[in-house]
Amino acid sequence: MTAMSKKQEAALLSVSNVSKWYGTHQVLNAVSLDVHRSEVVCIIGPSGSGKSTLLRCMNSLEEYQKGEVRIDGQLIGYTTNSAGRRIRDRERNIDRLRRDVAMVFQQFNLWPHMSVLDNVAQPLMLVYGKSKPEAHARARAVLEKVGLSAKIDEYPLRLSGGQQQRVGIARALAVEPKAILFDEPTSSLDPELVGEVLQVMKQLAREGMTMVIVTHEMHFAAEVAGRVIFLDQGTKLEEAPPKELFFNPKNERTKRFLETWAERNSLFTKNYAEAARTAPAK
Amino acid sequence: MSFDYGLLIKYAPQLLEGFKLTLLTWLGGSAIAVVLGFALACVLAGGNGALRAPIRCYVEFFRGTPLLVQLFVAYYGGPNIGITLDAVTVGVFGLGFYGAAYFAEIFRAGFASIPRGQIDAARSFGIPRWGRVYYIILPQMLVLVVPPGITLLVILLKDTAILSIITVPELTFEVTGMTIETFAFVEPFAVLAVFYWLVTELVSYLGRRAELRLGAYLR
Amino acid sequence: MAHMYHLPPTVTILLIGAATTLAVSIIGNALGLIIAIAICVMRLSLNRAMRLAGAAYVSFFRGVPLLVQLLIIYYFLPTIGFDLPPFFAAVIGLGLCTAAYQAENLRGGFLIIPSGQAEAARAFGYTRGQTLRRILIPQALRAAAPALINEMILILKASSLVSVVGVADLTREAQNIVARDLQPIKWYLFAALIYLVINLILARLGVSVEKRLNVGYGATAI
Repeated sequence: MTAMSKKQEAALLSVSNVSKWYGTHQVLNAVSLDVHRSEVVCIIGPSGSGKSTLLRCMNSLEEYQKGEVRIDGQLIGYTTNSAGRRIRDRERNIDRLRRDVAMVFQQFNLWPHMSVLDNVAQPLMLVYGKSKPEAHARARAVLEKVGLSAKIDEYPLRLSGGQQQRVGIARALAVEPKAILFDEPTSSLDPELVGEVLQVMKQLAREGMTMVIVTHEMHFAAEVAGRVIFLDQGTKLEEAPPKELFFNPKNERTKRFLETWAERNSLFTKNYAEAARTAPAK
Repeated sequence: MSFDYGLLIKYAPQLLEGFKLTLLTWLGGSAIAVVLGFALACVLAGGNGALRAPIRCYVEFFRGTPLLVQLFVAYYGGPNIGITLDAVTVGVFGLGFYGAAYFAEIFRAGFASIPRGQIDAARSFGIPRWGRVYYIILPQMLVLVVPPGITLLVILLKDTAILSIITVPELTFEVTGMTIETFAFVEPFAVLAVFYWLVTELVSYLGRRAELRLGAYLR
Repeated sequence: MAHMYHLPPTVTILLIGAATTLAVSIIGNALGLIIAIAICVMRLSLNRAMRLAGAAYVSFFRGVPLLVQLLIIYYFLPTIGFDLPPFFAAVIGLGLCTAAYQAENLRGGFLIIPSGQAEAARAFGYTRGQTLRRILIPQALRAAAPALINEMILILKASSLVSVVGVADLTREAQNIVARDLQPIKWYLFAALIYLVINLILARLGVSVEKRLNVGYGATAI
């Protein structure tokens, strides 16, 4: 027990028994999750399973009715009022805690009226109080890291999806967060562009960044994750290191989910190989 | 139909005063309309839910009734409840409250046009509300808001003519006075029409230029 | 009409004024629509002079305050021999003004029609006039219907200005009553309320007309 509570204290992001309802429909069911420093945790599951909702609860972009989310031990999003009841905390306090955790979005969510450089520098100036030269210098460094130095004066709408997402990652990196939350970062990308983004994310994992990633990219998760979490209909059904979860799943639902995925992927591989074999010689 | 255009020179001082007042009431009324309209839209878009219903009523009333009748209520009805204001003040505020209802709709649509994801991104970094409005929402909103905004400003400019009916001595009022004294009715009004035409065309043209500049990042 | 005995005479007068307002607005709107179709055709003409004339019309009648337009028509008509009651000057004035706005709405309607439709008509040998009449104008009207109904609401409010040229509309009757009754707030607010109610009804009508017109077109392809 002591060992567990020690571990809980050391957890960077701690989600305890979080439940959320939209009206009468329950979207999250007593989900618990601990993420420690330098860990990479991937969350997988079918559509509508609440993966994104869970992620958004972690930096309080979504509200929840039961449970707690703590960043470095501090409760985010809620506080107790004088009567002892839990109420939503003031935006100012939430914003302060949000500085420790950055987010990368499925739709990139870059600000189209600013150049790439300004997109990355903006949070630094507005929230972290950096001066313009400081912010720009840091932005340049980070953009170079993701390989976009050539595009710093471009506007987001002129970039490809993969480039835009890399800017999104740079923007998150620039504020030197304790952890980065990734909400299906490659789901909106053309297949050809997925690789460049995953490349950057693998690099970050190697360097020890704490990451929580909601994704459909099973290969990526298998390669990079320390732990994989399977979520279905708001409930955490299984949690294990990738080798265990992918090749020896204990839960029936997990098995079926992985089987469907494998089938669809091998179907393609099989048919492609078949087509390649029977194609007329050129 | 022999109109002595020299009469225009003779009446030039009054006409100039009238034009000055047209500009004054237009600019004053527009300023009130833009500021008040923006404030109303801010509340409609994100603020206190309890204020939403009264603001909706305000907007429906001022957009659903003629400006002339609104001015009559204020100018002729005001003294009955102890508020006796001079015509110009009633004119400026009348235009202002009337225009605010329309601007509120324009700004509200502008707020709604910003994709929610961009606000999420800003919130995820901890950017406070004023920062989100000033750096993210407003710059993008301008592109959407300027075209209908300029159109509305041109409408307000034309509506200053209605102020003449509650004896505000702007341009139309002065020209009407001139026709009564000179017994020439059509020509002065025709010249007045051409004058309004030129001014409104100019304002519209400037508006189109501004719109192009603001929307450059979209192309 | 027996129930009207229960209404105070002032309210009856106002309602008659409201009827005049509606009459002037509807007839003005109809006149405007006819002129607008003509202006719109001019703007789509192959003849450059026609196009310019159409554009100039729209520019002028949208750039000049309606009040000034009404005053000009009101004083101008007698000089060319039309000594008509103010009602007619008002209708003509409203019609000419709204035609400019409706022409723009119609133009928007035309622009939405896929170009293939006109092409198909020409391929079958329709003349330009036939194409316009049978294919383009009906569709432009359908596409522009919401904007045109919106314009009706605007005309209704603008019609309050005809009180200035002596038409016994809602605003003018309210003014007459106030002159005798000396209760400006009560009567002007009541008149405003009547305008508001009519506008709300028109808006509701507009929504249902829009729904009705879109039946049979299925999902709009964008």
